[in-house]
Amino acid sequence: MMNQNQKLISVRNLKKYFPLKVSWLKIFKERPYVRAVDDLSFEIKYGETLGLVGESGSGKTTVGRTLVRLENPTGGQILFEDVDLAKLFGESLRTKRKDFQMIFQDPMASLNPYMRIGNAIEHPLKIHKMGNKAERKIRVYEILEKVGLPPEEFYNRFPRHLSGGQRQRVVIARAMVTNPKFVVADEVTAMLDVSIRSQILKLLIDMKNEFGLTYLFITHDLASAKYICDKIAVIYLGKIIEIAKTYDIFKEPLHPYTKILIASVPVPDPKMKKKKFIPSGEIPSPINIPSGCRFHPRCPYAMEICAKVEPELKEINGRTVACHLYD
Amino acid sequence: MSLLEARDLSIEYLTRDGNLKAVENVSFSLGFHETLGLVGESGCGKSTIGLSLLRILPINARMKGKILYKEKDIAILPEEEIRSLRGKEISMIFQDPMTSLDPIMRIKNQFFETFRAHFQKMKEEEMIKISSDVLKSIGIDPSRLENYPFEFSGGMRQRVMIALAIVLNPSLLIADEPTTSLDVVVQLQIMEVLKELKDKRNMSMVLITHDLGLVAEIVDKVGIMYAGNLVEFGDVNSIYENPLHPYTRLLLISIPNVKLEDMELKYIKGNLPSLKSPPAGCKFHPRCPFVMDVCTKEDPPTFEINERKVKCWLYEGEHDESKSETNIG
Amino acid sequence: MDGSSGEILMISKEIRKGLRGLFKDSSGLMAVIGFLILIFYVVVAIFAPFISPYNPTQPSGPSLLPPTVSHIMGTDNLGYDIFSRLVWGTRMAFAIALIATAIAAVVGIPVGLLVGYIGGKTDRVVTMIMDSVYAFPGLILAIAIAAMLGPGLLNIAFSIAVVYIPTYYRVIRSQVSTVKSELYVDGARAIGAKTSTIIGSYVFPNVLPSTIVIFSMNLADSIMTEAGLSFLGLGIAPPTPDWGYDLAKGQQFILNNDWWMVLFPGLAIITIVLGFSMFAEGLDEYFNPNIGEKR
Repeated sequence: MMNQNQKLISVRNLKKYFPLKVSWLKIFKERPYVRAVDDLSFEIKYGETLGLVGESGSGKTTVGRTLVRLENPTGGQILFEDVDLAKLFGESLRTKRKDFQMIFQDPMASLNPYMRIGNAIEHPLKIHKMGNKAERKIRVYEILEKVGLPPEEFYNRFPRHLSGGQRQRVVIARAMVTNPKFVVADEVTAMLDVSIRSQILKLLIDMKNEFGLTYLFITHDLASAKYICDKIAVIYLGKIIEIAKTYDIFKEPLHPYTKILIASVPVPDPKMKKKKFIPSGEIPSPINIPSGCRFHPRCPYAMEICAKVEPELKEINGRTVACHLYD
Repeated sequence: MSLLEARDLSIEYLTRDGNLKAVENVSFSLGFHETLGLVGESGCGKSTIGLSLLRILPINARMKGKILYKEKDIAILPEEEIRSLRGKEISMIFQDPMTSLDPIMRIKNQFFETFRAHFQKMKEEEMIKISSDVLKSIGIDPSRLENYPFEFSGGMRQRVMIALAIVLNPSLLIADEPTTSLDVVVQLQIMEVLKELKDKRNMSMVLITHDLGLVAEIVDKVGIMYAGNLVEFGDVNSIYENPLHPYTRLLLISIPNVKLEDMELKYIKGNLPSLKSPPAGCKFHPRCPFVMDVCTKEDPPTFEINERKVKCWLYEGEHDESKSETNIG
Repeated sequence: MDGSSGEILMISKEIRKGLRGLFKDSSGLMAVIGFLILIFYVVVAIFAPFISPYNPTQPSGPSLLPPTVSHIMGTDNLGYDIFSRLVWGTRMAFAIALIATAIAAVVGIPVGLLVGYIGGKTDRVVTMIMDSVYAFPGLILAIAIAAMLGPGLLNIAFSIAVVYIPTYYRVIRSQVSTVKSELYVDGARAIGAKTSTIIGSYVFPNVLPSTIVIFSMNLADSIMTEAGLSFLGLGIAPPTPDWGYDLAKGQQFILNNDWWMVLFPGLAIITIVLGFSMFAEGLDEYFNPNIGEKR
C-alpha cells in the first residue's frame, strides 16, 4: 500500500442538526434543533480502523450516516482523499458511492425481502456498471465464498431463509463487492447472538486485511472495539471527548466518561462482586445540551469551571482529550 | 423444600409447518432467597421457560412436565389460583420498558391497577403510600407518580417497571432480559437495583439473559441453555471457574473483554441450530471441538457431578468422580 | 336498490372474513379453491354460446316462471331465461370488473409510489385532492361521471375506476412512506442506486402485496357499483345480460315471492367475489415473504 500514513478521510468541523417540529404558536421563536453532531473533527489514515464509541443518543450513528452521505451535513467538510463529500450532490455523489459503503446495525432490516441474495450482492456492480453479466456472477460467487457462505447454497435464497449472522455476512458481502476504500460499520454486532458476534468481528478483520480497507467502526461496546480498532474516539452528545490509540485508551483512559465506559463492561467473573463506581443519571437529550462541558452534570470530578467553559479537544502529553482536569 | 422446581419441563409450539421443540426435559430448582441466571442465545428456550413459570405462554404452546412453586404445580393449577399468584407471588419484568407500560396512563394509575387486581377494596391513600415507598427505594422521586411513561428516560422506565413488579412484594421475580435495550452505563444501574432487591428484600429471582458477564455478579446459580436444552446447571462460582460443558467454556472465552493482555478474538464456529430441524444427537455437536462418534447419534443424558449437572457425553462414567481436567483455550 | 346490493356486499365481506380465519394455515388450499371458482367462471364466459340454452335477450317462455326443468333458474318478468342471462352476464362481469380495476390500479399505484417517495409539499397537495375524491360517496361519484360520459362498456368502466383510484393511492402512499424509512432503502441509496431503481426494485415489490388485496376487493365492489349504474339506466343498455341489472330488477319482485330472480344473480355475484378474494388472499400469504416469520 503506497499510501500508508496518509489520510484517507479527514472530517473537519462536521455538524448535523435536525430541526424539531414546533407548534404553530411558537413559530416566531427561534426554531429548536437537535444537535446530533456538533462540530466534530477527526481523520482516518489508509488501512486504519477508527472506533467511534458512545451510548445511544451520542450521535455516533448520525456521524456514520453523514459520512456516507445518507444525511446532508449542516456544516463542515468531509474530505475523502481530495474530494469534499459534503459538497457532492446528485449524479457525482451517486457515482462516487462505489468507493465508500455502510453496514447497518439490523441485518434483518437491511436486506430487501424480495431480492435474492445473489441479486442483492450483484446490484451495486450493476448500478456502477462494473463488468458484464458473467463477470459479475463470478465476482458475487467469489465474495460469497469470502464471507463464508457457500455460493451454490446461498445465491438463490431469499433473506428470510437466513439467520441473523448469515444476513450480516450478506450485507458485508454487498458492501465489499465494489472494492470500496472506506466502510462505515454501524453497530454491526449489536443485534446478533453472543456466539455469532465474534465470528462477524473476525470476518470484518479478515476482510480488512485482505482488501486493505479503512473502517469507521461505530459501537457502544468498548470491549469489541478493542479487537478491531487501531484508534478509538469516544463521543458524548455529538462531541468527541477523547481520542487515542486503542492500547492507550484501555491502559490509561483520561476522560472520566471513558473511564466509566470501560468500567461498565460486564466481567464474567463472580468474584468481581466488588462495589464498582456506578455513575448516576443518563445521557441527556441532545435538544438541551448542558452548558460548559457536556458531561459535567454526571461527572464525579466536576469542578466550577466545567459548568461554564466547554473544554477543547486538545493534545496533552501526546494524548488527545477534552477535559478541564488536564488543563 | 425449594421455592421453585421444574421437573422434566418440555414445551412445544404448534406451527403451521410442524411442531417446534422450544424446551426439552428441563429440570432445575431454586431455593428461597436464591437467584438463578438462565443464560442462552436466541431460540434456546430461556424466555419460553420464563413465560411458563407464570403460565402465560402463547396459545399454540403445549407444556409437559411439572413446575412446582411452593409445592403447587403451576402447570395444572386452576385458572383462578394462578391468577392470584401472578403479580402477588410471582411477577415478571420484560426486555422493553418502552412497550411494557401503557402510554396513556399515569404511572399512579398503573400502580392502582396492580393493587386492584388483588385487593379490590384498597384505599387510594394506602396505594399511593406503598407505591411511593417502592419508587423511593429504587431511586425514583415519588412525585413522579403523576407522570406519564413518555416523561421517563429508558432507564427510569425500567425502574418503574421493576417498581410495578415488586409493589405487592412477590416472593419470586422473573426478569427477562431486563437490561438488553439499555445503554451500558444504565444497564449497570439497573443491575444494581436488582442486586439491592435481592439483598434487602430477600427476593428470589430468575434472571433470563444472553449475557454471561452480566449475571456473574448477581446470581447464585446458573443454567446454561442451548437449543431448548439445559446443558449445564450449577452454582455460579464453579461454573465460571470450571465450566464443564464445551458450549459454556467456549461462550466464556469468546466474550469480548477489556483486558489488554487478551487481544486475540476467539469465537465459536458455526450457526445456531434451527429448531425446526435440529441436528441429531447432541444439539451442539456440529459446533463442538470435542465431538465424538456418540455425540452425532445419541442425545446425551444429564450427568450429575458434585451437585452440578451437565448434559454432555464427555462426562459419561464420571458422575460423582473427581472434576474433569480437560482444558481448552 | 341500494338495500339488497348493499346487504349482499356486507354478507360477502362477512364470508370473506370467516374464510380468512378458516384457511389461515392453508393459504395454498385457499388460493386453489379461489382459482377453481375463477376458472369455472372463465370457462362459462368463454363457452357461453354453447352453455346457454336460450337467447338471453329474447323471451323464451312465460314470464315469472319459477325454476323448472326447462328453465332451471326460472324466467324473469319479461320471460327471459335467467340461467342463460347469467351465463352471458359472466362476460360482462369480467369485462367491467377487470377494465375498471385495471384503470384504477394503473393510475393509482404509480402516483402513490412517486408521491409517497418524494413526500413533502407534493405529497400534501396530491393527498388533499385524492382525499376529496375519496370522501365523495362512491356510487354518487360514479353516477355523476357516468351521466357525463353516457352509457357504454368503457365509459362505465372508467366512471367506476375514478372511484377506486384514491383507494390505491392512499394504500400505496402510506405503505411507501413506511417502506422508504426501512434500512434496505437506505442500503440501496448507499450503494448508489438511482431514485427510479430504488422505487422500482426496493419499494414497489414491498408494497405490492397490499395492492393484491385491494385489487380483489375492488373487483368485487366494481361488480356491485356497475349493478347500481345499470339499474339507473346509466350502465349497460338493457337487455344486454348483466348480473347487477338482473339483481336490481329482481328486487322489485321479491315481495311477490319471486325469489329466483334475486337468488341466482346474487349467488353468482357472491361466488365470483369469493373466488377473487380467496385467490388474492391465498396469493398474498403465499408470496409475502415475512408472513412465515410472524408466528
